[in-house]
Formats: sequence, C-alpha cells, structure tokens
Amino acid sequence: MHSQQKAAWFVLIVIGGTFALYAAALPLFSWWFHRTVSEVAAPALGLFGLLGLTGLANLSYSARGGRNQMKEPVMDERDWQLSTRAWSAGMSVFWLLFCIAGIGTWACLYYLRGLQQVTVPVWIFPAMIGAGGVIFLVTRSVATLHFYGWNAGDAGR
Amino acid sequence: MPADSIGIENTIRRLRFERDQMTQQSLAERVGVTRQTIIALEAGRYAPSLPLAVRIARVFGVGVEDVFLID
Repeated sequence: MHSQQKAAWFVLIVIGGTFALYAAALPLFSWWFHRTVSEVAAPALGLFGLLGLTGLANLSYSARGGRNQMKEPVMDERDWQLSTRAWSAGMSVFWLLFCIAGIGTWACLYYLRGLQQVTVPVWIFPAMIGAGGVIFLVTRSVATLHFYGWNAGDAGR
Repeated sequence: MPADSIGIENTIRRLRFERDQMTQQSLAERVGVTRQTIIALEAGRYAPSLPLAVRIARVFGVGVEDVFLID
C-alpha cells in the first residue's frame, strides 16, 4: 500500500472516529454533567479538535522501513498525478458545496422568505471553515483510494 | 491516465521474463519508480510519461515503439 493510500485511510479513520466519538459523547456528557443533550451539544463540539490529528497523516510519507523502500522514490510520477487528481476532486466538491450553501441560502432567504436582512450567529464562520475542511479532506481521501484501486493489491510501498 | 483510454498496450511483462526473469521490483529500481507503478503499467492502468517510457526501453535495450504499442 502506497504512502498516499495509508494517509488517506488515516484521514478517513480520524474524521469518522471523531464524528463517532462526538455522537457517543453526547449522551455520556448529558449523563455526567446532568444536562440535556441539547445543552451539551455545543460544548461537546470541542471534540472536533481531534481533527487536527489528520496532520499526522504526513508521517506516512517518511522513507523508513525495509530495504526496498530505500530504493524507491517516496512519490513517483504516477503518485504525483494521482495526488493532483485527488486534490482537484476535493477542491471541486468543496467549491460546489460552498457555492450551493451560499447561493442557495441567499436564494431561499431572499426569494422564498422575502428577507432583506438576517442575523447570523458568529459560530457560523468557524463552522463553515471546519465543514469545508472536512469535506475537502474526505473527498480527497476517497478520491485517492478510488484512483489507487481501494485495495492493497499493489503490495509494496 | 489509464492506458486503455488512449489505446496503449505494452510488452513490459514479456520483456521482463525474457531478461532473466527480471522482477518488477528490479525494473522499478532501475527506472526510478515504485513497484506499484510498474504493476499499473503492466495492467494497462497507467500510461507513462515520455521520459519514463524511454528509460524503460533503455533497460530492455529496445526502442520505445517495441515496448509501447498504440492500437
């Protein structure tokens, strides 16, 4: 399995695990702090700080290991091509959803609800950045695994 | 880019066997790519760049057109 495949799986596991941990933490925090689930939902969002672990995915690119790994490049031309394509897929999906969210929200509020102004809570801004980052990382990782073939059949680096 | 999308076939696998059963790993080391790339080349799932195609042909001591064939 290539380093990019390992990194992609690592990112997906971290993101999936973080969401699963958040879902599991809500009833636990509710019971522990004697609050309702809706009251602990916002503070529990701090668990999404674990998404920072996705930065450790770059460690999979270190040229350590056996004799064969020392004789092969970390990234050859095919790996760079697949990386570029995965990045493009991630940015495309992110931009598409970003535009839909922005333009769609405006269209609904302006044309359907007839609103000229709305009050936006400040947490929307970091949430958009976080959601956009997750969308990009998930799409890029899935695209990477799809381009490599979803398996470790090309056994090796 | 998948090689089959532009109709390129190759004889890498046959040439490897004709060269004292050269392994994919050995060929990969000689041309400076990973073994995964050699596997993808032989399976027709990847079309190499021109420099890589020339390096592969030089390893086997044949011309590029003897290694890569366009339908």
